[in-house]
Amino acid sequence: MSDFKSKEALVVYEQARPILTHEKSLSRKIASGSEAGDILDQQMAILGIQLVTQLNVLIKTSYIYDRTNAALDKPVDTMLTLIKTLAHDQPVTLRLQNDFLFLGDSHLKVTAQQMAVATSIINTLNAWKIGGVTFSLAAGSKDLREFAALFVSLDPHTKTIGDLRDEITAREITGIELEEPRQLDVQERFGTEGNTGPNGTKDANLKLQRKMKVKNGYANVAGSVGAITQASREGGTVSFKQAKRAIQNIVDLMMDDEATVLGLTTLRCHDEYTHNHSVNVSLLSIALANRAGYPKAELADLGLAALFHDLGKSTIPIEVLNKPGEFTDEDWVVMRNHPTEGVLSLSKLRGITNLPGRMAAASFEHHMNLDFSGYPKLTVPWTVSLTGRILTIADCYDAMTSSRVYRREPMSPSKVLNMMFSKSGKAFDPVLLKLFVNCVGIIPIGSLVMLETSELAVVLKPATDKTTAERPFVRVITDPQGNPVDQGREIDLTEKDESGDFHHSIIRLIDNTEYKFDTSRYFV
Amino acid sequence: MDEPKTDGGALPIAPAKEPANPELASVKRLLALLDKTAKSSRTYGSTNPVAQKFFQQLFEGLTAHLATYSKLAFLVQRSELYFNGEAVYQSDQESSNESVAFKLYSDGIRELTFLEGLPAEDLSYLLDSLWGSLDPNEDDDDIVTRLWSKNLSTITMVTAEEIAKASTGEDVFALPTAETMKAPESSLRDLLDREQTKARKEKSLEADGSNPLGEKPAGGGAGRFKSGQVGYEISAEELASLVKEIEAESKRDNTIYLLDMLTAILASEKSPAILSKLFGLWEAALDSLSAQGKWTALDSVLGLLHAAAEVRPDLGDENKKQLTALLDNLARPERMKMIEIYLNKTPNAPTEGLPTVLLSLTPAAVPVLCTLLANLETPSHQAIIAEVLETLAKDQPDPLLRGLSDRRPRYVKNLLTILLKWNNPQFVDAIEKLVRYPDVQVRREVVRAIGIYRPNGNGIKLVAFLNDTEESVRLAALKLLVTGQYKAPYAAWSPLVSADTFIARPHSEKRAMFLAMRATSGDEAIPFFEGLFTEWSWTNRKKREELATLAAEALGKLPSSAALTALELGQKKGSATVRQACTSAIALAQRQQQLKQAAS
Repeated sequence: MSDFKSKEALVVYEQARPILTHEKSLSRKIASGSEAGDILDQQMAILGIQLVTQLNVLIKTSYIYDRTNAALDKPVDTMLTLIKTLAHDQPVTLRLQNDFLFLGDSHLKVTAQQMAVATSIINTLNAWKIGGVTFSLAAGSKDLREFAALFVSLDPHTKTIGDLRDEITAREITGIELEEPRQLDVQERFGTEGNTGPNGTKDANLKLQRKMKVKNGYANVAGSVGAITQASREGGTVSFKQAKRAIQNIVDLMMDDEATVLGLTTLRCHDEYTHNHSVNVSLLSIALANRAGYPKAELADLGLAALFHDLGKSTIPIEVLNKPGEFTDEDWVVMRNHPTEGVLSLSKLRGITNLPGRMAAASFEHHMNLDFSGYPKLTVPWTVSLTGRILTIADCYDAMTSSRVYRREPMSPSKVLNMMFSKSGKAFDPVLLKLFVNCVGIIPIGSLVMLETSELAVVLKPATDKTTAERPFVRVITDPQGNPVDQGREIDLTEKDESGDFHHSIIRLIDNTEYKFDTSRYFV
Repeated sequence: MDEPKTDGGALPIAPAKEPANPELASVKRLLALLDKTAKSSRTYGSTNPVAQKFFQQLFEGLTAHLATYSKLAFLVQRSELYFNGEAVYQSDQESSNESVAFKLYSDGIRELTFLEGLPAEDLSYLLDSLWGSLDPNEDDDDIVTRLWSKNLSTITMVTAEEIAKASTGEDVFALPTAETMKAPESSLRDLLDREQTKARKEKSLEADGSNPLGEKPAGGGAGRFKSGQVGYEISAEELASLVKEIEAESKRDNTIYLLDMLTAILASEKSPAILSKLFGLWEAALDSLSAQGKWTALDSVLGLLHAAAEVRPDLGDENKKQLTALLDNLARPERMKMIEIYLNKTPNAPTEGLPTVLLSLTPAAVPVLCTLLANLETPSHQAIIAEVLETLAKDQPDPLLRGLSDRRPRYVKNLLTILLKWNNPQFVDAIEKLVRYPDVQVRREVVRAIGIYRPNGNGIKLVAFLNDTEESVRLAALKLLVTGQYKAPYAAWSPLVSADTFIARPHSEKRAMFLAMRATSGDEAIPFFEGLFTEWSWTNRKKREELATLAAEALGKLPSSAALTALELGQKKGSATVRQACTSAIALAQRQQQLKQAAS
């Protein structure tokens, strides 16, 4: 080996080294690979950058040495350990999109010091028009060496990503896959809102776009809470950052169009595998807190806290959660522990000094009730926080209207509100409960009603004026004979004719749960 | 407007010639101004008049641009900003923290747009977020969150993550397929029929008053639905009270709140499994609080844990074991290292509560506390640990005595201070070994310690200090030796006073040495003094006369019959100067004699 080569290899290796040595605890976690359950956002970012760095070291070293050379041992071993850590539950993808690096779907923040290494990888991926490289546990030492050697032996000017893939197959490289680049015109998706059509279709388009945004927002939140709950249950890696961004988006949408967002809360939770309940509670909490006067940033804090109010359930076996039939006494004991388990899990995941107080309160107090009639029972004086009181209302409302949570048959939204009002000042904070009713409406969003025309309709949003609270906005879903109508008209029930009489009125509230009819289909 | 100049760093791309597109030219001018504003703000602070002048120019330029073109959108790349597909800003160094493009890129911002009506404070907030006060310790602090939370209507952004999510094209939103709520839309006809039948039945029951259960029809029978409820009025007082609560909740110390919660769980929880997890968490809590210097909180937690066994006598054996282990391992080396790192990293951080925390440790913690004392860099922090050791190590001084051989003078000096405060003579042997310790302050402390622990008796160890390279150390030792409380044979002095270098010592030191020698060796030193009176030399005559004069003074101050005999010899055989000195010394001795007799 020439001096030049050894020096260059040393430089490459030295570039890679400091990132991990600064994080001794993380090094230990990486060393133990499978014990990656408590790796958090910051640590994920470090691991991601380390993956970028080691990949760069591997490729650069391959330019100097043959694939079997011992000089490759160290970067290959480190890469394998990183892959073992990051991909221990599912394959991990290092992605490049519009110059930005991602680990999975999380943006990798690159510091000025790390940029030289990142640039090298970005340039390599760009040269080959590679959108991402996915590593799975199947990747071994030989695969990594062969993979790195491809970048040396093939020229991106004369070969394509397809040729690279063919070579991967030909050389029987396993556990490494290449992704095409994902491109998107920013203006197309984010810059323009609503195209003006010839027949005044602008409004309709705008509405449709907004609805699409709300749906995507809901799905993102559900996805992130699902990922974290799953990770918490299985000891995978945990990223709160995605959830935070998703909630920030929801707060924006809520401020823009509360009714459309709340409409999605009609998507009840029917199964503990889905996370609609957590998302709904978050959305309802944000709406209620917004009316209570929370500033924007605090709303997001509360929304994030609400999203993880049931994280303690991740300690309960899924067979118990989705057990058919009634819970046994033992099952109930386990269930009643989930607020406390949640606090302990969250404290462990985020660290005592890093856990937001609202997040702890949301988990600990959401079943406590204002009069402490709920659980956990405490032997010391305690004050239920504002977050806890908001969560109690939002959680109870969504749980009672859902079919599986707490083993109950679902109740119609209006029945649930009636029941809750019977406990105002006892289980529930009376002022917050009033605000909540103003928020979802006396005839709540998602309620099924019969109009005086014998048409059936679904409540879309509450009336704007509290004196006409019984006259919400509705969408007609059947004709007078009960035949479903497509894209039924939306009616403001407060509208009057020339003589001062209302155009339309509700003559009957219908308990949709009695007919097992889910109204969420009109909101999704 | 002249083309502004920038002095290096990140630069707007200079056109080869003035671009034909006025909008593009305006954008480039604005970026040059942005660069100047950022540079001056970083250098002098944002409140500096120069920085404010550039900021004002930038704001006015941007306002004028937005008034003409209504919006200004940049696409962000690693080291460039693009406007309408053209690179308008590029930094010299791709990853410079001074580059606007890199700052935005690093935080994952793909697109940044300014809209008409941009207020100065919003622009200022953006710049502050870019260059200023982000808290690196705060997980949730980033440029995206800051801009988002401010709800800026005239500055919008699109993040790379948003684009990535939107471009997956996956249909992530699907209706749940719930068995319990699966009724199809076609069932609505049947639903309507049944509801209408119910309504008719309710109406007839209502008409003949025969509703057996007294049930109210679902919303007023077949007539218009009327619940009689209106929306709820929330009074201004109720809202004000909520706002107050929100503020209080936002200002709350989250760590203290969480610790209160864990305390409530500890006091109330029955499940051994949960308690077991809780004790595991307390361990982590102690680490976190130690690592972040939250001493008062740490103190409360320790107080709580110490009281836990009393508060919860019902704890199971396993939980009791956990609690004991927790308390036994309070001072584990890793935790002490955390404290050390925090204190060295934040020398001015408050230390209120730290002494109490450390004093709650057992004497078993003395070795790690010694290590902590040795590694701390700030004197005020060292003083705290020293005070704690003074209490905890009193019955276990060995780690401190071993520490005296440490090469770090600051540490050894701190240990000496502790040992001196204990005032225990048994430590003097260990202290005396430091005669040749490299640091002068330590040696001075050793002399002081000898003075305290051996106020009289054998003075040989002190005499050894008279060869110290540092004058202050020698003088400190002499100060003790001249007291007359110590004894040292002339043999101990001889190598010092006979050395050729002795004559080169300062006059006062030589004088003190003769007095000390006379005081510690008694008449044993007289032959040496006599020699000085009678000795004749061709060289250094003046110096030798000086020594003889000092010898006469020493003998005169501490007279004895042998001393007087020696002085009389000097009076006869010495040079004129010596004779005069001996005469004065005899006179002095006689005066002292008379005074003594008068006194007796």
